[in-house]
Amino acid sequence: MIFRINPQSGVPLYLQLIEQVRHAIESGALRPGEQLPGIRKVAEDMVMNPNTVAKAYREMEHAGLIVLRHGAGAFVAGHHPVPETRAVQRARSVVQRAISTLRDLGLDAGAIRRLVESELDHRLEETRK
Amino acid sequence: MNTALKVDNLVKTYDHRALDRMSFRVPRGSICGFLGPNGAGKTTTLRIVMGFAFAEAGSVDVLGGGAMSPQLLQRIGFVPEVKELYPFARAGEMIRLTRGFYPRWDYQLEAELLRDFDIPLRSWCTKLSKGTKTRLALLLAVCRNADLLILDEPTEGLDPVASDRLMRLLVQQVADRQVTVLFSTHQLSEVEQIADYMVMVNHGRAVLEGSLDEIRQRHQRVRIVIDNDRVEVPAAFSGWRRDGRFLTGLSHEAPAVLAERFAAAGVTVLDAEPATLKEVFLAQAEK
Repeated sequence: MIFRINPQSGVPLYLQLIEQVRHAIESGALRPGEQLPGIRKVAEDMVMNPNTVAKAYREMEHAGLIVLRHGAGAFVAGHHPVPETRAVQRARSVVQRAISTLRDLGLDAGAIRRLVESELDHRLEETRK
Repeated sequence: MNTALKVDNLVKTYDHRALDRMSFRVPRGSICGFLGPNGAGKTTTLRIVMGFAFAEAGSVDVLGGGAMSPQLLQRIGFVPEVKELYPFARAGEMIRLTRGFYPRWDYQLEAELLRDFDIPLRSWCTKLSKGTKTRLALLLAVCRNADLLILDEPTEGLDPVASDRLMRLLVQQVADRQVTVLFSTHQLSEVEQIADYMVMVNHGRAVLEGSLDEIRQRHQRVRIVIDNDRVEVPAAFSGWRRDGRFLTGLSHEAPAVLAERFAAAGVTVLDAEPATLKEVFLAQAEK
């Protein structure tokens, strides 16, 4: 199962699912045209509410990440903007530089992680408006 | 909103005011967590919904058919807080007896649950352990193919394996049959895992109600720093926990609104993270 949820984190579960699919697509783990597990299967395997899974799938379709074919299931969209591997490499070095700067400022791993996550959550909410 | 259960302004007095204009609704097809401290009125509300107790004022609408009636009872699966069963029956007889009342009985599910819940069919109901009573009561409630399941602390006394099986069962029921589930619990983790809607009650009334996603997104745990000790704590943050120059509190405002308010008050936001359900619960329970 490509999904892993953390119900205690406070981040809505449907956003967690969306982020994981987005990440899996960007990292190349999910390829265009690949089928995602059905709503019922995800709900059962993850023991989570099927309405929540359905909501995540609807939002992902809306965002152009996946295509829902009635009766057939959910598929990774074919022409989403897949970042080049070079882009990911460049991003990695940006992150590495940022982390060493933050460490120089005296932040530990936990503090950095919290900072990044809270920034991401804000972005996520802003883009949803 | 398509509503499976509507509770409107229920008032009930025992030696104290148990329900004080209790109002909420449960959307059809949802799994609704019913939360609140002990004595908040959860069980009283569920008993009134089931027609086992009467309210002094207010009304209940079950599946769009008004107050509970024998016809509606056919479509309800109920597990009470005290899982007492018919004393003169063995577990197997209890199942056969219940089956007879429900034409939509799901035999396949019964077989699955008998296996998963490990119910000793030949034991007398009174001799069953607390956990086994609960598992039997759940089997009886779910196998009748109800449209609405009302479960009062269904995981109380269950071991982790059995409560996981119950969570899975509820999820399957919602996925397959669009059943609506209302369950009370003290385990916030169960609500966080499977509920998509929640009603939180305190002092006999609903204090927080809505989709879990919305509630999660609305509540942030925010830490702010007051610039120096001369600055008074702004009135807007009076309820916040203070530790020197640091203030921690729960906010349900949009981040942009919050930032503006903080800027106006001259405070610095240290961080803002999504609040956990536990933090939301504790904030409500303290009121």
